Amino acid sequence: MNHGKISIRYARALYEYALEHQEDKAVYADMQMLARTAAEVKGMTVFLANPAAGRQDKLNLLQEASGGKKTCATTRHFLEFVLDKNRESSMQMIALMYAKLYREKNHIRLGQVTSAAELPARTLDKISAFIRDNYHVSVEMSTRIDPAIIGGFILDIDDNRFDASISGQLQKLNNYAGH
Amino acid sequence: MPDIKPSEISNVLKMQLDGFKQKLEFEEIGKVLQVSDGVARVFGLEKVQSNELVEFEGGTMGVVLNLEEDNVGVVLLGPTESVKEGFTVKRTKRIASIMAGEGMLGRVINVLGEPIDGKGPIGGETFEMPLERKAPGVIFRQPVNEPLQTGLKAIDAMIPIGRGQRELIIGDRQTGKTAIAIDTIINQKKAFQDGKPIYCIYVGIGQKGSTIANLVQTLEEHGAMDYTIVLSATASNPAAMQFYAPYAGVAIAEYFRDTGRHALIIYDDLSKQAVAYREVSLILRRPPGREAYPGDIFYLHSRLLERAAKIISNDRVARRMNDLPDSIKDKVKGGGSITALPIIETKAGDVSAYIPTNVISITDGQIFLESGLFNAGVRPAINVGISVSRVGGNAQIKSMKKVAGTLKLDQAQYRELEAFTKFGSEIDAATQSVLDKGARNVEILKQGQYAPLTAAQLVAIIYCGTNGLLNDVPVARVSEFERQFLDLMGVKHPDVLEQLGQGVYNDTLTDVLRKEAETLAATFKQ
Ligand SMILES: Nc1ncnc2c1ncn2[C@@H]1O[C@H](COP(=O)(O)OP(=O)(O)OP(=O)(O)O)[C@@H](O)[C@H]1O
Ligand SMILES: [Mg+2]
Repeated sequence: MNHGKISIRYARALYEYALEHQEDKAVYADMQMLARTAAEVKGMTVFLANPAAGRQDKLNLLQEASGGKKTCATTRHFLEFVLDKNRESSMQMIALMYAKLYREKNHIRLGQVTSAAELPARTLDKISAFIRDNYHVSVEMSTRIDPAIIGGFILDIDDNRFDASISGQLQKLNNYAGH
Repeated sequence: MPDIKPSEISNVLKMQLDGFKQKLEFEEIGKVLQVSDGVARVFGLEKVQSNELVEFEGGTMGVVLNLEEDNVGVVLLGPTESVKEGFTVKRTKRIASIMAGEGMLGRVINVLGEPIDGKGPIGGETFEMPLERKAPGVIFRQPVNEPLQTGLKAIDAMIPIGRGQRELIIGDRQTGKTAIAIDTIINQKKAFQDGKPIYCIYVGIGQKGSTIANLVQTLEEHGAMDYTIVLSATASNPAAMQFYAPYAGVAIAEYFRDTGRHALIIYDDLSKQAVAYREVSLILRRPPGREAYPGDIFYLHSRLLERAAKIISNDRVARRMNDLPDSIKDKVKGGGSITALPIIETKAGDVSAYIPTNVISITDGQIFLESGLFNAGVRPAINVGISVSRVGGNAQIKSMKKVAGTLKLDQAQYRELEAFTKFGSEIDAATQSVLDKGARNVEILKQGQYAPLTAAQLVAIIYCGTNGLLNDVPVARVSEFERQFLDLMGVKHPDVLEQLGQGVYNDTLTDVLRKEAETLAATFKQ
């Protein structure tokens, strides 16, 4: 079985189900939370993949990771379902795929601006306006500060990156000179 | 950190934002979900292609190996620790490649083409050669017709190798597999000195760093590094590097081949490469098949070995060769070749295991080495009875073909009779003669390391053996005879050797061989 298909199938089923129960948006929040936690908490995926770990422990972990008490009924129900099917090791991917699917269906783009220092609100507005005008989609914008980029900014929209940072330019220069 | 004032930063920012629309240079990116044992799973990078080079935050490069629907499996071309979860990955839109050039000769490099011998950067012009590339189609190939001399009596006489051929060296551990490859490299020195080089590429896979260092030293001592490149992915490198090593090696060999030159590539060894691939595949969750190897390992090896080829000598046709990289398009010449000597290690002589059977079936012949022979002092420990070369015979020089014609058969007969006489049965004169000759031929075929013979010397001594001219020489003194005989021929009859070396074979020449051998043999008679 192609593992890549598992997460997509579960994510799709979850989306349809959530839609029927009008909880697709709530599930989206839970899944984003879950994906973020899985990325941040080292060992979480390893634990989920461990067949010796108990079902209840895994369920507690998954529930906690997707928002604890705040998780919606559909999410709670779905986590149990995934555990019943022994697919908990794919949960991170399922969460990621659900979030992606939800964004696709709702024409949402994920945007992130990285800058060396805090950006003035005006600049951020300008970037958002730019995206709106060019992509005709709404963007969930977040910001990140990373002094390592020295100056300028990096704009990520989904899987696309516009690198206008100084470190990026230097890197390009270096690549160019290196060859 | 450079001194940049905040006001400047926002100015830069504004300028860039204004110019944003004109030059929308978006790069495709993904995020690392997981890293282990030299493999990263990446979320995103949706349009990335298989075998594409990607760049991780921090500069580590990787090659896309697995495209799944929800993630991309990337093999790291650098230490696992250099990439962390959450890192971004960028597409480069370039297929994984190596920069190849003459400047690599004499150097020890890694899979990325970077020098690892501490002798500074690779000099000279280099050309981008893709790691994965389709083998030349049949119309761009030519049958094997030129010999590749190993300088080893047993091989050049009975299992001759031609340029463009794929000949497998297979045997248990410590049976002299690497030794054959090294001797073959050393034997190309004459061709290099004569201005008709055969460039050698030794690809070490999963070996100890010290083993490679010793090997390089040996090659240096014999003046063989001048025309040799050693590419190494040691046991301490990530599995992915070991897996890619043969591709990097063959990409360099293709640079020589497609510019009309001859290359010899040694993969030492493909068993370790297969294990590395299995490791990578298991991490990528590819379904394991026989012996837990992924199902496409056969295809992988056959694609690799297909790239060994003799290219048609017509330049015009050669220039139209399929899948030529852009970097060398205006440099293409016909007549080049890649000869491949893959090495496979067997366990307890079991050639029916998965990887050995596969590679046996996709090579043009096999040199079987046996530990039994090795331990009995028969070195190189070649089992000539089962070793074959399916295409090299056409490339053998005429004189060699003539003298060695019956050698293989003779030796087979000898071994049979020898086994028989162990039961203590009566032996008639004819049988005794076969036994005498066979025992001496076994001695003749023994050969020390780093002592390759010229084609002429080989013809001369094998002529003596197959014609029973040594029957008066005690078995224990055969090697002494050989040395004296070859010295004598070199001093007294250099012209005869010269002609034999060029493939000439006639009664005048053989009469000289016979006379000299008989006279010398008489002095050995007890
Ligand atoms: N023709 C020979 N005459 C004498 N010694 C030899 C000969 N060939 C190989 N040897 C010796 O035998 C040993 C094993 O040789 P080699 O390393 O080539 O074997 P191998 O099959 O490549 O081993 P490994 O499985 O470890 O890679 C070495 O010490 C080498 O010097
Ligand atoms: Mg070896």
